Amino acid sequence: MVALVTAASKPIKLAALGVGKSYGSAVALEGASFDLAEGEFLTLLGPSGSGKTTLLMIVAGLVAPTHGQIVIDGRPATSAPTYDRDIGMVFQSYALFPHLTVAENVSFPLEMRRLPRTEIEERVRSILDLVRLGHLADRLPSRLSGGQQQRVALARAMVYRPSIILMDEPLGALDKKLREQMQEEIRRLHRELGITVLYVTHDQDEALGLSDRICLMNNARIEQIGTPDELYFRPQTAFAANFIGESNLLPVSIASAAGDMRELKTKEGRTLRGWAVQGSPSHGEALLGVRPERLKLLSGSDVADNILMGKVRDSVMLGALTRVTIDSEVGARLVALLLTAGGGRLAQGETVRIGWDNSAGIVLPTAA
Amino acid sequence: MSEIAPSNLVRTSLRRESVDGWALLLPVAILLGGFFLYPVAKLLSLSLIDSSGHLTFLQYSRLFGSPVYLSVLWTTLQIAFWTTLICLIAGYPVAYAIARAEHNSRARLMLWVLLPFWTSFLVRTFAWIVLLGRTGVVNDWLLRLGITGSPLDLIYNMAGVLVGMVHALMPLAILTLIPVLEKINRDLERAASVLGARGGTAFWRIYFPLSFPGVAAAGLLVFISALGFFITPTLLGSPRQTMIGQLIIQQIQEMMNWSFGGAISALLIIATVIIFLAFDRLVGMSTLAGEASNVAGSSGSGRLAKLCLSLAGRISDDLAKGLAAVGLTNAPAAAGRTSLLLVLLFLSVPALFLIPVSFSKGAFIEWPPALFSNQWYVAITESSQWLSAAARSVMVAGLSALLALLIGTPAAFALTRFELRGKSVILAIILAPLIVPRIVTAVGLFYLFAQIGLIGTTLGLILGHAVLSMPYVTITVMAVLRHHDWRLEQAAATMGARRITTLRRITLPLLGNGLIAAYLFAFVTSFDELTVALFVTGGLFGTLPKQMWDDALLKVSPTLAAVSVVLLVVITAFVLIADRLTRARQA
Repeated sequence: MVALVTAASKPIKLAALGVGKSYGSAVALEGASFDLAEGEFLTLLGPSGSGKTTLLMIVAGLVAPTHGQIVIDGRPATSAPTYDRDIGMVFQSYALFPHLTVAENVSFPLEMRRLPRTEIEERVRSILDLVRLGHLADRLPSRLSGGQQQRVALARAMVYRPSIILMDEPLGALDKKLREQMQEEIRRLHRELGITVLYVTHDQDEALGLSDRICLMNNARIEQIGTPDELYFRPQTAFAANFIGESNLLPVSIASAAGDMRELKTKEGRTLRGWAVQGSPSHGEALLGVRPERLKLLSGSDVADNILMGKVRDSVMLGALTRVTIDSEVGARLVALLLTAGGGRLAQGETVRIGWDNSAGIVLPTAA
Repeated sequence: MSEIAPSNLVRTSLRRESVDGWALLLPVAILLGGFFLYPVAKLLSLSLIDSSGHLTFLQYSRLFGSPVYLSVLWTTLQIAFWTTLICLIAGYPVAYAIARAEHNSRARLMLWVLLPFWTSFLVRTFAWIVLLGRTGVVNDWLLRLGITGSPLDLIYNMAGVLVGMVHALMPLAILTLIPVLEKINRDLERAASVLGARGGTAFWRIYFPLSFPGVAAAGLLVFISALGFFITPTLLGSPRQTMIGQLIIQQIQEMMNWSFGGAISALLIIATVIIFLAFDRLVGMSTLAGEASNVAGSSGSGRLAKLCLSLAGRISDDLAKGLAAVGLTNAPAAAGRTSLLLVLLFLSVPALFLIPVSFSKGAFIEWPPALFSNQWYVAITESSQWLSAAARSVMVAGLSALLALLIGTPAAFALTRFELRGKSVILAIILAPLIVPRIVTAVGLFYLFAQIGLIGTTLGLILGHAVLSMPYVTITVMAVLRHHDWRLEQAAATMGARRITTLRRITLPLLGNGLIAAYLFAFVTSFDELTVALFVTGGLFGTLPKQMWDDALLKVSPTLAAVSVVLLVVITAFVLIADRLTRARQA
């Protein structure tokens, strides 16, 4: 039986239990389980082919799972037809009905629920005001800009107050500036209305900025679920470490383990230290993950917990940050992100000492 | 970026381009001007000029004054209307299934529609004679199954005519609907479902309104084509189903009454134009070119339409719910699949019945045929009449298709690659041979060729068929050109290729597939063409369709079945090979 409340005692609006989908011998999604509490913003994040869209479609009822269950608002919904599930959805193509005006599009779901005419008109008006499109109520979708169409799609998905709102890469078709504006808009609506959202994207910046929790997916499986902080500072796999932000991954073997600390040795005999997270191995081969912004270039007598020598391969100024690629003495190529204002230009071939704190290193399992 | 080019250089190159565009239209202008616009105009003018050269409305008063002619007109409109209605209702599910099918099933379904479309029209009509006659297949089965006690009158009446016409025109309706249905975004149905609409409501309130321009276009083309039909009512109908086309033939061929024939032709054209105008008002002409309809539904009639659609949606949903309640949840889907299968069988199976008949020992068409004799096939191969007719058909088709290709392709280039004023008018003129009833074109050509001595000549036939095929060629090539990536030519230019070289080595090879398709289309149009051949050939030197027609008017014998089967086999092989080739290219 499904627990209907979380520890924070918000009711669970959506629970996926071991949901999987195969097309013949091709596995699009392996057993995926997660839950979504009321008012929460959960993002399914992953590259193409990771199974995130398949999972969303199964939640929506537009694709039937091969196994597993979906529970919406405490009621089993696995075999319920889409029109009976209490969900809203925003598509990447917006899917606004081209032959209906903005107002008619937004009133459509209310008409499906047989609400009285006056209530329909009132609700449509207030939601259009909320997304600031009240003055365009009688326009046809073809006469709206991309951003405006997106807002109509949002309004239409929210006007009938469904249990959860699904969003399938809704900002994919917009340019950068517009995307940032729309992210702002979605954040605002989430805060003001307390809507429960299941969001799909491949853009990690978007996920980090919008989500309460992120469900990272890869190769038809869920890799890790956690808050943006958890995923960024405590990734549990090499994939997670490199998909969200960037990570240097050094091959090491574990020499000893003490509590959460691990003492590590490289092939060349250098000793390094790092923290263990959930799923970290306690012996054998491993990867030490260090984020580029945690690497420091040491001068003269500077000390650090972990130090490696290297030669500068490349140094590119990207504005506020400079990205330096270094060939380290342990063979691995390291990337460091330094504040441009901090150091001078580094010359190619220059010998440098790189250092980082113990707290910056995470011990990860080697890629399967 | 363009501060480098002096402005007058740019202007000169644009003007030069424009002249090239008009130059490309010259061949089409000559072909249509001389062999279409002039003859038709002349024919119409004959209806207004009496023997002393004065303007007169005598012919028209005769036409409208006599109840006989008015009833023929009324019959024609009725038949066209019912044909259109049935074609749309039965054809829509097929187009729907094809538009939404996965790649492989789509190709298979299309084949089922394209085979009858390309099979000789006369062959298909003969098949119905075999099927619907008093001693035909349908009556035979009904009697054997005990459903009826005596043979039903299924032929030589309205039923027979409608069956024949629906069978002939449904592929056209389906092929017109498919591109429109394909353009409808699949996400819209998903969105409707998410928003709470069940299947019926989602279809009637979202999908159907968006498909309506396609429905209207298909209805338009079917109705206009049906107006000019004369083959089907002649072979499958009684004198009570006489249509305008037969009237025109009678006046021209039997009574040599050009003026009256011209008047009837004018009537036919006016009816066609009126329907086009109604279509434009209702839906908008641009939808024929694939644009979305601009007629929004916020007017009074729009609200009424919305009400009807909501009601239709509500009723079909309630029906589905009712069926689900008694355990028949899959009934609607099953019904859809069954009707799809029935329509596809209806389209493709009738011609197959000619096969056993062609091996009949008896001298008449009867069912079941007394097997087994190949005397009819032997007779064809030994008959110089049939062989020369076949040879002539192939030659005329091959050459007229080539002519149509050589004239239509430059025209397509002119219309898609150049900025010309009055493009829509030019396109309308180029498409006119499709719109003006073929019989009117045929009679006009007959008049012209009689004056310049081209009756009974192969050249006359080639010219006539080129006029009819050229619009198909132009449309096909235009569609191909629209999808072509012109940056490839630009890339070639940056690499130093001159325009002719680029044309020869880049453009034409890439367009090759489309050009071949256009050629094949023109070939089949000519090969199966009867109307123009009826008037332009003379005496012993006919084409295959003309020969079949003459035979059919005398007596429908198993010879015709044998000829039909040969055509069927050849065309099926043709279509399958072409299909395999196009799919190999796409793979």
